[in-house]
Amino acid sequence: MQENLSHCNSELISRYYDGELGQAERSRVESHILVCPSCNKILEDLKGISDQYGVHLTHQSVGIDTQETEKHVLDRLRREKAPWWAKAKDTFLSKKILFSATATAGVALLLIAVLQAPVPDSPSAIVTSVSGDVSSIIILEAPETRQTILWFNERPEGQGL
Amino acid sequence: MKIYRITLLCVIIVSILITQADEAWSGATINLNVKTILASQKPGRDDPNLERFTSGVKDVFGYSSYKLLSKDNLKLNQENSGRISLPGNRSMKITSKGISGDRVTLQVEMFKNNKQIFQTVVRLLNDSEVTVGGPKHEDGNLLINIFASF
Repeated sequence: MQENLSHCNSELISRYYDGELGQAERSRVESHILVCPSCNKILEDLKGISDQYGVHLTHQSVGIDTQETEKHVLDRLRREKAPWWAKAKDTFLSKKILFSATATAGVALLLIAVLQAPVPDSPSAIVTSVSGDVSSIIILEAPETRQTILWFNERPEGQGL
Repeated sequence: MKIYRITLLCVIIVSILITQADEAWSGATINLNVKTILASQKPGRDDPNLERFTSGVKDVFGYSSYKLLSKDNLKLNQENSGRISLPGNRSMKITSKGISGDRVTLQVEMFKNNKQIFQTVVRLLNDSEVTVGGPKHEDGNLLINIFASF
């Protein structure tokens, strides 16, 4: 027959709750709790705290991507051991850098294309002034190439203005 | 969100650099390729060196043949002039007046016996050409094709 506990021991109850006691000790604590309201209260409090903690922990861990965290930790460990050239390679080939570089290169190419593209539907040359000792001047534009042509007829020799 | 901020920053910096570079290129040298061409009614084959030119102007002029008489290259900086000799005691002076936007401003003057007979100011697109024509020579007319790149 198991002997009951002679006095209250909160540490022993805590160990009981955590399942750390042997068969004999566990029986003693159980018998004591049945007759001791104070120790019963301690056990109930321990259960309450444990339940609350469990609920909170579950709530907090819902959003954690454990696989990503594991990968991050392993990557970091690998990088710490790797030589400098491997670290540099990892840095420049990382998704973040590649994303930024690709986006920037895309915008750069677009800007260059826009800035360098010839303006359609505009003549090759805009004539801002024309004059001379000539009898006539005609400004033409080649229909296909949009090339501007200035045609003038020279005044016959000896016929000034 | 950090990656998007970095990307946005890179895009802004590159955009500014490209825009500034485009303006900076505006101060670059202007390369002029000047072809002196004799257009005439004389039957003959077109000069193979003028294929691009003739394909553009054949519908405009009624000439039978186009012959390349000379080809000159001028490199001009801002406010620089270059001069080329033309047949019939003529010459052409081309002066760069600077680049504005996507066009270079050129003053083109033609002289005969050292006297200016014609002048024009044209604003020419990059990698494009303007042709000045009309002076009589031999049995046809001279066409001076100016191609500019900068």
